[in-house]
Amino acid sequence: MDQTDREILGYSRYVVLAAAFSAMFIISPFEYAWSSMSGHTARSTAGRPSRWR
Amino acid sequence: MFTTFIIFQSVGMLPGGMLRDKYGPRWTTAIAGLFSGVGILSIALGPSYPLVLVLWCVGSFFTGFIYNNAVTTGNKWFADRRGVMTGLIAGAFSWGSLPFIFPIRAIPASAPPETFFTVVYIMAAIIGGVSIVAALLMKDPPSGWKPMGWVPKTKAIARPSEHNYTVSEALKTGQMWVLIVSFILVSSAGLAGMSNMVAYSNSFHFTATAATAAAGGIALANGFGKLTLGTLSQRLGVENTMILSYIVSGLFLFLTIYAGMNRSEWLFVCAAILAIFFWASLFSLFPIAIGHYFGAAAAGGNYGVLYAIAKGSGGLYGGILSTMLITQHGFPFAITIAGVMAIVAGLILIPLKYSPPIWKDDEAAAQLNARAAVGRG
Repeated sequence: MDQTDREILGYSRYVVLAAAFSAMFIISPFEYAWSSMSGHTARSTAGRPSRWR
Repeated sequence: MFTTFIIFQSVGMLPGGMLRDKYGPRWTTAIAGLFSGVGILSIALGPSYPLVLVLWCVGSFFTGFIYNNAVTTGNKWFADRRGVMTGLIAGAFSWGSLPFIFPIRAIPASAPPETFFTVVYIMAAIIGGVSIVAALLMKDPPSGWKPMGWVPKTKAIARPSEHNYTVSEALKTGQMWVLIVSFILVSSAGLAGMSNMVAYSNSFHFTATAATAAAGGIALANGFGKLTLGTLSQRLGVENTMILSYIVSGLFLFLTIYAGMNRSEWLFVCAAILAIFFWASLFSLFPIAIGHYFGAAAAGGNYGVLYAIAKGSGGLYGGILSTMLITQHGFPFAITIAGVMAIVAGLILIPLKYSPPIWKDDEAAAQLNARAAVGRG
């Protein structure tokens, strides 16, 4: 267990941190932008012909 | 749809955690990212509501995979800086909405649907693309890995037991169930406020600016609460930080009611932001507590089971039951209940300070040592 992060990964563990941070950052709108999106979603889908029915 | 997101994301945390503990974070993140992109894209595929809802739920389920992968990967690589790194990663879940909140709120109600859909297409492309790139860089350390030369310097971050609990072992401890109940109470409290913030502000006839400031402010406070209090937990200890945060969050929820009744817009916005600042720490402090008590080997599964049970239940209160309470009794009553729940969530954690989970072999060894010491005495 005497390996460093660079020996295990080939790069710093901070690169893994940046990747985890980015993955988390991009899924945020599902929850935290919902109160801003809900009105547009309701308005813009009402009465619109569906492309997928 | 807010409630379905909370429920499906929470449910996704458990299989996501167990699969990442078994196969690592790479493939699970890449596949989950593609499905999550489709989930957000569903908003632009109406008006066939069943189709929109099914795709939205599938996408929400897979965001649970990404969430668990990100937090658990940070937890595994940064045993030496668990508080700050878990706080930073959990904070990203709040900050990521900011680049979209303001442009979306700037779209006038009279604008054609395509204006809003353009933002949705961009979000879907970013989710799919970034998750694949992130997945390529994510990997778990070998089991039991610690940064070279690192030994915990303070009692606050030294684990009470060196045993790595499996999910079923963790679920057999009373401490895990106290954590679950506390998480249910505090997540219900905050989600009730957050999912209704704009309507809550409007109920006091505050201006649209106040509603936007509160909505934008809570997204910022949410992220910084996770980071700041996660970092602070390394000094104060995770139990002390949780107890303090949830009680203070409850008190600030009460203050929003006082501010609303006294028509003080700025006090309302500040109290709402501070309530969420302290509340949001649950998303960094609970994974820290899980790693601290139960070890890193099954951290994904252990946090997944806690999150799946607790946030799913919290979403039911925050999204559906609180809306029923608001409709029947008004905002002040529903937010008072939320405040009480947050305070109780903090109080029930006090016993964990004095009796953290100790693995039975460690306990037996400690008893033998004590008997030997008495025999020698």
